[in-house]
Amino acid sequence: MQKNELFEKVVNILEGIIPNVSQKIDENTALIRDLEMDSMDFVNYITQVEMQFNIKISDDDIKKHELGIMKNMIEYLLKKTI
Amino acid sequence: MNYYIDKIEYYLPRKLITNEYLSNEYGIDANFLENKIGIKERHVAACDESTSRIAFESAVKLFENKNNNIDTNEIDLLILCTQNPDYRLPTTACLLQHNLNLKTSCMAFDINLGCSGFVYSLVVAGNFIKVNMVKNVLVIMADEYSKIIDYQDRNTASLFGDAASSILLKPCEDDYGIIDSLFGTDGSGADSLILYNSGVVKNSEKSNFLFMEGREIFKFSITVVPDNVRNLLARNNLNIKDIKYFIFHQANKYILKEIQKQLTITDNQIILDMERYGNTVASSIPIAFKNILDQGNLKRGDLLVFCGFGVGLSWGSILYRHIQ
Repeated sequence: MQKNELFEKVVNILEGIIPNVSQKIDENTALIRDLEMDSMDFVNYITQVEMQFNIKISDDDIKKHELGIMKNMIEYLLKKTI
Repeated sequence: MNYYIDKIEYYLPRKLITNEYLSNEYGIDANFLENKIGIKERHVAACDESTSRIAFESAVKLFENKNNNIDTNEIDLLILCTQNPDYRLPTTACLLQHNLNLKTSCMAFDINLGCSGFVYSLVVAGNFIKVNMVKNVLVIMADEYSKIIDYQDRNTASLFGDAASSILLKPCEDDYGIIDSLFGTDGSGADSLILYNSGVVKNSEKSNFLFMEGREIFKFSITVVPDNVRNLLARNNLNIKDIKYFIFHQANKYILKEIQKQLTITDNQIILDMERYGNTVASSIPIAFKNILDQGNLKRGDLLVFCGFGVGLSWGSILYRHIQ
């Protein structure tokens, strides 16, 4: 899957959690800091990413790869979905 | 012959834990709890208030309500659903049979299930009616999670409340009451919500308080639960719009709103009733149902879905046609 396509899919997931948020998102967006996402929304986000891409994301990976930052999540998904 | 919920009462211990208290004592965000989790306060049992005690109180409320017109001598079976029994043995239902002065020919046993416990207990109890072994069943749900929670643990501290609920289950005509049910179990998720060191298995590296892996429970709730409801409706040739109310286990508002989204249930159909109680485990559905009944919005023939899900992992849904 291409980077752009992944980005679009992740933005769609975020839009389902925080409506009308897509305009505010670029690759440097930090979800909790910039979108004021709370812990429940973040749990939902990771869960939806897991479901959409049929992968398992560990708590360690979330911390190690700083998956709350858009570009990190896209890079992570690029490796995981090869 | 079928079976239906004839009467319900519930009991809430007096002591309250408010969001303000949790915020002041443990730094938990009160606004988040109220607006996102949907809970303002939860009742907790006193130190000397046992599970059998709160179960007793809910049953006494059922018996003492003169409108209920219950003869305790006619209760043939008592089922208590709890995961916090007074003792590992004897079964707490035996204590209750004695405390409630039920006849000694009354069968009594516990069911060890959590948030799916109401739907399971109802169907287990009802099948004793269906095979004509009994006529009147007292089903009690009672849990005191406050006694197994570490209030320093943000994953669990704010969610649970203590409560007991009692139901009288009776026979009815075929097309009413519990008309179908669909259950499931996935023990591979057992360690997602677990009380270590509470049985014969001991592990000194594990806490003695309730452990919850929130993300796993969330994922389970928004995947398995909607599928269970969809499958129950499909095999009865029903659509979402055919159901008057969906009463899910009141885990928290965020989870129920996600399930609502997945199933395209309208705001008028889904019941959110955890604000004043928190997650009361197996009592959450009967409390919500009792409150609906008291509002007088149900008429004979209305269809409801009760859906319980949680620790185990365990889940189940009941399709219910209102009779009264």
